[in-house]
Amino acid sequence: MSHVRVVFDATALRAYLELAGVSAGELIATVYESGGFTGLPALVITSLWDTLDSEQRDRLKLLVDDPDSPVQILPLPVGNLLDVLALADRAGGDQGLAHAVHEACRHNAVLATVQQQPAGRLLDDYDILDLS
Amino acid sequence: MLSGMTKEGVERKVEKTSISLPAYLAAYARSKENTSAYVADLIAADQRRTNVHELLEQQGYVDRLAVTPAGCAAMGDRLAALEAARRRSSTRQAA
Repeated sequence: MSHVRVVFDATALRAYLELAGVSAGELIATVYESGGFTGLPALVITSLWDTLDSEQRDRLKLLVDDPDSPVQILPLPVGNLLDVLALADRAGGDQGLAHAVHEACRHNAVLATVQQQPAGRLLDDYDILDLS
Repeated sequence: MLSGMTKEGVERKVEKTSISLPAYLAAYARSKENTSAYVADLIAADQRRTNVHELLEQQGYVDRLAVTPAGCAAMGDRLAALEAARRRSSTRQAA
């Protein structure tokens, strides 16, 4: 089974898609070169989708559709739904962040974010890689 | 990709090949427990590195946004430090 070493929250994925800096790209490359993958939780993608312009959507499609993609979309299994919603209650209703935190815990992975504070309400500092 | 063959099938297909290496490198490769697996792993790692950097360039990570070996090394150090802290914490909790 492939190893998800890092999970992106919506702020990290947005930074990557907006070309807002090089950190998110460096992280994706670093993880892939090590033999791992970067996880993109489904609810992170759905929470961002409406806010992406066509160029950013194309970038996301190319990223996930590439036959040697360094990322994996992480689905939300029905059995995890209520746990994720409970986490969302603790995250101010942010279902994308809740799914990201849940997947990071499930894969024993680090959560990558550009805004450490919201994730910091749910995870310890050493679980979070701040890309800001 | 060959018709009717999955990517996984292609990756599992083995082909015997002959290559020329400087003698000292050939000796080093032969010192490994499984020389073929060792060489295959090196090539696979290089292929992964090439593929991901080509993809990032295609996505616009060029010029001032170029993903460099130095940047990846620094990011790798940050990630490794976090993972080490997490392992220490889980060890403490288990004790």
